[in-house]
Amino acid sequence: MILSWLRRGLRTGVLTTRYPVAREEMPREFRGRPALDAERCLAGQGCDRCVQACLPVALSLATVTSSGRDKSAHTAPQLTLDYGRCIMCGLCVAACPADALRMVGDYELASTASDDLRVSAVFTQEADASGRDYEEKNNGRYA
Amino acid sequence: MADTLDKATWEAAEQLQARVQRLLGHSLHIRHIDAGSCNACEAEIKMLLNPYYDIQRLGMFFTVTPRHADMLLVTGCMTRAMVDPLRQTYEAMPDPRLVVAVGACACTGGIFGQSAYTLGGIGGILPVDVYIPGCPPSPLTLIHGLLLALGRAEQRMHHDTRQVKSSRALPMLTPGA
Repeated sequence: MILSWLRRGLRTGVLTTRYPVAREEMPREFRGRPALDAERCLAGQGCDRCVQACLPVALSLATVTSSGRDKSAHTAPQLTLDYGRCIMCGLCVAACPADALRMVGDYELASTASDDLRVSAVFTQEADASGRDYEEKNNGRYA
Repeated sequence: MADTLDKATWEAAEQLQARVQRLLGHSLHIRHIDAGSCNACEAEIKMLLNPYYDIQRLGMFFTVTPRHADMLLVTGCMTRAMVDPLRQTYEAMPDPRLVVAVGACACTGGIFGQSAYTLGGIGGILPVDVYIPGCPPSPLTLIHGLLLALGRAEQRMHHDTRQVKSSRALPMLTPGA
């Protein structure tokens, strides 16, 4: 009987994840975090559907003053996504009419500063040299 | 912050941080405390000990007393009733001690936010070293956060025991923080 147990154990192999050594594949439906694609986002045209859908106010719209190329001050909408508040429910992804928000399977979210958990995009009305009409602010990890 | 400190202080802080990470890097004892959680985070933390995630293979262990602990794992939206017990737990821990906020609630208040009964995150009570977002964070997110606190998050190669310095000095070890 002990032999059959041993054989069964050997056949099962190691089930423990190899996570910190190797990345783990997540299921396609896994809701890691919502990722904001500022290029598609319509917040500059006055859309606020994701902000309305967000329960813990992780998504917020503010009006900021940004200086354009002609150095005059403009007001521009700023969309901020705070992963520290987000509950990864996916309601913003369902509400987005432009597919600017999508759920990605990223699970390495921890950060040493709460400011680093915040990503934002300012939607200036005019395009800059590279043809962008938005300005993203994040620490590069949540792009 | 970095500009206001002179170079010698900054170097001393970095050395101290490296020393702490070397001491705790492969043997970390964790005390978990619930500061008003819904128990979803607890369910995920409990999963760290199952045979699949098994954080004991990474040299991390849970203890039942803060006096034996190197790291305080705080969950929950920081209710006013738990402020004093949380402070006492932190004070009972020996130096050096790390504080990790687990879940959206402990990070910022999450879905509860700030109210008459909750303070909205533990940031105002304790110096938090690592924020782990998510509601609840998956066990893999928790493992990443714990490794980040120890400066081991970049460690990818098998048998690679190098201590990778995190880009940011831990707030706990930053003088004047």
